[in-house]
Amino acid sequence: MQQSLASENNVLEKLREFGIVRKATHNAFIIDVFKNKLYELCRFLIDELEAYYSTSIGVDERPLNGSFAVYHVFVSDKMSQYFLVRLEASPSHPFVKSITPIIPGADWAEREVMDMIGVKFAGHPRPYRLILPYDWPSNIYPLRKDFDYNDKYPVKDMVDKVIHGSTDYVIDKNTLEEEYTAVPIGPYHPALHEPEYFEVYVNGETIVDARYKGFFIHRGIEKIAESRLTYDQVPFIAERICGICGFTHSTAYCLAVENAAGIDVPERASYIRSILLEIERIHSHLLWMGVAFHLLGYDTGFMIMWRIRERIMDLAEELTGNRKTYGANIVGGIRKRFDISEEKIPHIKRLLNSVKEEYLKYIDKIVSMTEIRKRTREVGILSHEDAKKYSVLGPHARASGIDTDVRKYRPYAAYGEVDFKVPVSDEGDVYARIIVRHEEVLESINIIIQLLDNLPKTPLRAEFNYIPEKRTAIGCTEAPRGEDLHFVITGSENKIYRWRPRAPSYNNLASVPLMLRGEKLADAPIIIASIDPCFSCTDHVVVIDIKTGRRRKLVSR
Amino acid sequence: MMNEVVYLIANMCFALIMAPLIDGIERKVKARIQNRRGPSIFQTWYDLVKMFRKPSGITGRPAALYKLGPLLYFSYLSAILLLIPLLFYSPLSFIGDIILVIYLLASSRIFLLLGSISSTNPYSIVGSNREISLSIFEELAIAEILGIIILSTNSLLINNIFPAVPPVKATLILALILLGIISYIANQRLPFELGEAEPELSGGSVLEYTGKELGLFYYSHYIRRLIYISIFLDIFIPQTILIRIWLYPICLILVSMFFGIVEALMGRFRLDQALSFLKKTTLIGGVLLIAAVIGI
Repeated sequence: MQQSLASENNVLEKLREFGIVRKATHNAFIIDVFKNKLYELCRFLIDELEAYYSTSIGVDERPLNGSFAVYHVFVSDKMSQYFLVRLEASPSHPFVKSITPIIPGADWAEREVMDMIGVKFAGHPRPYRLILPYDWPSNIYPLRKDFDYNDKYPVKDMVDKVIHGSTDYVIDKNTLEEEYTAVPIGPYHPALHEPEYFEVYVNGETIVDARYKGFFIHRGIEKIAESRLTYDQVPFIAERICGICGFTHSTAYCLAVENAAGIDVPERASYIRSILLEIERIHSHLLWMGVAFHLLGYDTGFMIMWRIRERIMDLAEELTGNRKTYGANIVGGIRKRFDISEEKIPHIKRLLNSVKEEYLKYIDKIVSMTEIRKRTREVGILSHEDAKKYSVLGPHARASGIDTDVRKYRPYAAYGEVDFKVPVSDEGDVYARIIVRHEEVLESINIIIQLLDNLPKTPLRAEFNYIPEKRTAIGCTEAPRGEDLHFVITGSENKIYRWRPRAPSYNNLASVPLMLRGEKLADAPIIIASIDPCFSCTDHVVVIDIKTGRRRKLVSR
Repeated sequence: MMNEVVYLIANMCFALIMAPLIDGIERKVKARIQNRRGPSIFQTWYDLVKMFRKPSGITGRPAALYKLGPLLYFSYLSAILLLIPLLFYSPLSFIGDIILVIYLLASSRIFLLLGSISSTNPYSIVGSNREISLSIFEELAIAEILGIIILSTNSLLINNIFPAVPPVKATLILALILLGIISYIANQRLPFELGEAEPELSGGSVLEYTGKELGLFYYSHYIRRLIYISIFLDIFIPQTILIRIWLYPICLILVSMFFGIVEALMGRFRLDQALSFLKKTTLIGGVLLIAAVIGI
């Protein structure tokens, strides 16, 4: 303990060479970096501290301090700390230096900031639109504070833009030397279940290159939350970011606010949060396995996995009254009616053990099937180096040999109290991703049983008076798909000032074109699915009717 | 003479009614293995009827090929039904009819592909591509096998070839095993169902087809399955009417149930994996054919 403190002080000493360091919360530092030291700082964080780049957030801080701000979030598993590298941009000349040239994983996040806040990144290799539709007017930025959540801009302006072409959108022209057949996968494709678009260039059946276009279902969640929801209402909308891993989003949000306000969540609430999170992980992994087997043409495996999953869904229903674990989280703990009574515990344990037995009976046979192995071994390989470069997360990263797990290295809720191992595999192929998830299911069952055995008797919600203003905090959970990061700046009038959820698929999707190159077209669906992409999670911010150019009303009341 | 016309009509009707039912049985068997109740065995028929009642939609392609493809596919395959023994022996028998069967089987596939390849849809083209690659080996294998059968029975007349009479040569038995395998894989069953591959190509070769044309496609497809199984069965089942009339339908259902079970336990191959499997099969067929020529 003494030693780690000493090394932390050393690190802070070193960080002060790059900028002004201040502590945001118990696990996060904000570094106001000196303009010419940005790249040095990034390299220091990545090389010396073994931190990885997680995401970037743009904030319109004009009402607070008169400038725009960009936060690059770096995460150090070794120190269990978050480093927020803060850059300021003046409203008259909103330009900052791009970090994409040295960290390719920052590509999307920076483009999102350009779209939504209007801060430009000098030196970005592909400064094209990412999120906003092509015909969105070029001088309107939806996440700025002067853009009201119910604003309508003149339709005429929109029509002009459609006719004359938006000025700041340049189509990402493909730079292929020869002509190849472009095969569209999406926006609607039976293998994908959600709207997104992959353009795959093929030569015969071999994939030469691939491009991704997403964000078709941007829902403006951030804007609604910042504009009209109170702290305790946000968990409801956070849960609806994803249809599968909703609870992990609301937990991450609550953790962020709790970190900001310094609230200590009672132990029992933490335990129950962890139990529900693990139930969510089991059902998500089983669902994914079913889908993966279906894509490989093995429908029997699909049916078996989903049948087993159904028992987990029953368990969720028994515990929360819902197949989806919705509505439990609240800032400071969980709601009373989601308590787990003593008499239920033996029954839950019995159920979990029988699920485990049934699961093991089938999965061992399935993963040793020749066709499954042939189709997944050495397919869609993501090397360790590329995985690091693109900051991929979760099971996807663990299958490429990166030992990362928020539960283990930055414990939240009750994960500090339980004993479990993090499965890691070095192969980096689709088969490794199946195996990693398979082992995680077993670990999750063990975690739930451990938690149930030691469920402490405390209140379910912390007492606190108010949430202080202008605090920056990060809440992080290990979603089934990887690290789920929520960034929060607290505001006045019981509202958040800025909230940005970043789902793991956001980082993982960027690595898909890399994995597709050189593979067969037949393998494209399973490679895309192997990261367990959650497009709804990734697209979470504006509803626009493209035909009329009118922004649809988000809440009609 | 009168009898023969009755046999011909009965054969035809039996095959046309039974072909979708076989698929229905396969679906039911698959469902039971997957812990589902599964649709009724008549579901395939219901589907077909529904498709035939829908209008055909033509999407930016030469309409003639689009319409002709399924029609020719269907008529070529129906012609085979006249030539091979089904419920009864085939009265329409002439020297060299087996060559005509091989010709019809191989060329019918071309019409299916012409129809789908004429669309501009990249998925259809990829699907048809796969089908062509597979069919080259499948048709070759079936030609080889029938060649072996012709050589070992010394006849070009279907009714003299089937059933094979003892003493049976070793090459013939091996050829029969091969025929069983080919009749499974040549009919778009997993792991060889690559042309449509719903999760990968969302329908592939039939993606652009709707309504009547799609119905005709699928109908022909089921008939094709029945033909392959029938050729396989013809080798064992005697042509005596009294035995054949009950043994043939029972065997047909048993084989289709077996195929359903096998299919439920399989995943889908990639094209290169499927091709390498088929290449081996064709190679074995070729070796057996040479052996048959030598007279083993």
